[in-house]
Amino acid sequence: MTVAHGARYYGRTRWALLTPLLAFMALLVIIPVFYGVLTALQHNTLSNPVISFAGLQNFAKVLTDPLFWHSVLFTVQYTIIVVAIEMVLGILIALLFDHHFLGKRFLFSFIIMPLTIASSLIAVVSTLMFDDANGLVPALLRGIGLNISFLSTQRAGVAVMLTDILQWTPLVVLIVYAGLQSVPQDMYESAELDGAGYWQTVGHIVLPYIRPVLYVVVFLRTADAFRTFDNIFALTGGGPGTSTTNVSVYIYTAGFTNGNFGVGAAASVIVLILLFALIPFATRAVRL
Amino acid sequence: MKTKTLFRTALALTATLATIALASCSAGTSSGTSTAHGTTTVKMAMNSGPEADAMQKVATTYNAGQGKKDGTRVQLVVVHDVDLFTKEATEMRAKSTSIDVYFTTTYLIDQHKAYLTPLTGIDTANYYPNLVKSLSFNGKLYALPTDVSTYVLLYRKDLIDQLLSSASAKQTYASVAQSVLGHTMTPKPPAEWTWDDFIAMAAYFTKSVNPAAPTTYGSIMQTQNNPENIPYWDTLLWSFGGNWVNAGKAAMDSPAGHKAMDVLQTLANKKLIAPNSVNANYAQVQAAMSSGQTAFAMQWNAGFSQLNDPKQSPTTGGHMGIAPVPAGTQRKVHVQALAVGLNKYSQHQDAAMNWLKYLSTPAAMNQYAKSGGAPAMPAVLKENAAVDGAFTPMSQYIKLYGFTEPVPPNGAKYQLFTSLAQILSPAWAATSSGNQALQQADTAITQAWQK
Repeated sequence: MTVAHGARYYGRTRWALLTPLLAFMALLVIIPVFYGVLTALQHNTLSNPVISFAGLQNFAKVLTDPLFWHSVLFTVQYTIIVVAIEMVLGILIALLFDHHFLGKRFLFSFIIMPLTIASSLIAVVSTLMFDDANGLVPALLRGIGLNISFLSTQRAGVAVMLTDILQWTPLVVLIVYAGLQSVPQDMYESAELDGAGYWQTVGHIVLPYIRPVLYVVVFLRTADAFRTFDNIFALTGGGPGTSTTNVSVYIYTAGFTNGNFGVGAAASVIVLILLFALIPFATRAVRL
Repeated sequence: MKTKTLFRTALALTATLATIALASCSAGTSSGTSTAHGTTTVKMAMNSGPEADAMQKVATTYNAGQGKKDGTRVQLVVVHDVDLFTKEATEMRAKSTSIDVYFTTTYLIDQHKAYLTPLTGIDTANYYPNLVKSLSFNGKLYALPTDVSTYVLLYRKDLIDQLLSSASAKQTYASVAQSVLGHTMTPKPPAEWTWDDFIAMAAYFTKSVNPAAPTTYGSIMQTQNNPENIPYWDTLLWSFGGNWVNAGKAAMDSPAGHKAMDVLQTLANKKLIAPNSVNANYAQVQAAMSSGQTAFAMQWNAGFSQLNDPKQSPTTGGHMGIAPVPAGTQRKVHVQALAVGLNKYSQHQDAAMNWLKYLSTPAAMNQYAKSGGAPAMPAVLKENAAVDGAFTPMSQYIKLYGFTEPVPPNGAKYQLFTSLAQILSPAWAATSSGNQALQQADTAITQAWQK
């Protein structure tokens, strides 16, 4: 095989190997995104089956709606808080599991159990936990003289965040723990010989070593938390009032409750653009 | 692996993905109904709960009898109501043929009617005329009412009777009323309550106000941000003589609107209602009542039989009373219907019409009532008064006090429900200004009336 022939052959092979992925992307990403953008440019409502071109009217409607910006603000707050807490808790728990102790395997299985449960079911369990009338947590707090309403306007945000943290911290634990297994044992030994304490070793050696893993987890959790729907919808429906309405609930309400698919699609496109900002962070993090 | 093998593997993967995609598309657009042995299967969507259970019994009877003569078999597709309306919205927009008969309501019919075939040959004389009117446009009926729903006052008869028969309890009641309303009151039977009585009673039955109260809170209100709670608010608004519009202009920010808002904010501010009122709708009210946490509540009529059944609700079973909703300057109550309509794109129009015609007969509705439904036919409700203790009073309240909200010129009634719920619900919970919420509600109404 000549060099030129080989290059051409490998070029074809490369494209052939990429074809399934490209076909998959076309089916599941490019076509829906294209259709979403198209819908965003249309007067497309449930009550009127005739679809007409709307230009940028739907985008203008979304961008001038105070509830949309409220939902963006809540989404950003929600994302920052839950991702930060899940990362801290997840890393600490993973570090704990990086030691040998009795019942480690059982406890680890127990810790990651929430990952296997549907989010909507977790939200139902949370409702039963936080409900003012019949919930376990308010009842326990009442027992010690604290009358706290978790699903009130002031605290419903805390309740949905706690639910997210309960469900997704285990994912951080799982991935960080896997990352910790790749840290060579001799790095710990060298650090110990140099007189470094445990937390110094963790802070200066272990965490920097698994930084790409941490970036990936942050990226995955940020994207997921930004798009959270089932947890909030099942627990508070975006309320009380609109206090826990995030962008996903806003889009759902616009599209399915109000039957205005054009406005729902426009809000989705805006959210997509906002989320694009995360992609360079992720690609840089995994050194693509 | 050699390059040729890799190339072939890639092609095989592509082909597999394409096959899966085509199969998915094919499954998504198939009609879902079938014709076998000369029988056409009609698929009807229903929301889960007592209505679907009752309708299943009617469908079973039809399939075993009249359905055989019609060559039609009915199959229910049961989905939880929020998911059902989402699924239906998607099916309708896609002009899908997978569901032949859609589930709808008087408040959703404006959104749904474009996808429904007007029903002909239906005898509407047996139904409540207002509900038939709510489901009709330009003289054409777009959906068949299956259930009638209205709000009633459900109360613990044992607790209220105790108060009404005790002189010392009446004294406590008077002082409690003085503390929350600024004037003394005498307890009255629930059928005579005004909203002031409701507030005073809520205070009397709230432990933090009256430590001797047998319940933690007097009541629970449906003040969740939920479009379906707008009829709840409207019942209060109408009771003070209010309306969404007056002479074509938005009228929520009116003396009636402010009085209605004051009632809810007083209850919330003075903590006379269960704190989960901000997240409450039908289910939460049932839970608060059946657990004995609250003494009374304004609730959908459907809640009575469950709360008064000792098997389902051991605490309240046999102790429940029913009365009309409290009065403001007048007594008014929202009335609505659950309904079913024929999918315009169904491939089984005739078969679906056979079923709907059967469903419109008093015989079918009689069985529906006996199985747990609340048919929108007054004569059938009367005939089944013994089946559900709410049927007779409900019929009376609908006749005396029933109203339905006006339809905006743009037809988007449900969209207005959604906007109003978003605007008003924080104020109902007294976490935002009532005045501002009423002004914003007027803006939303004005926009709906301008379109």
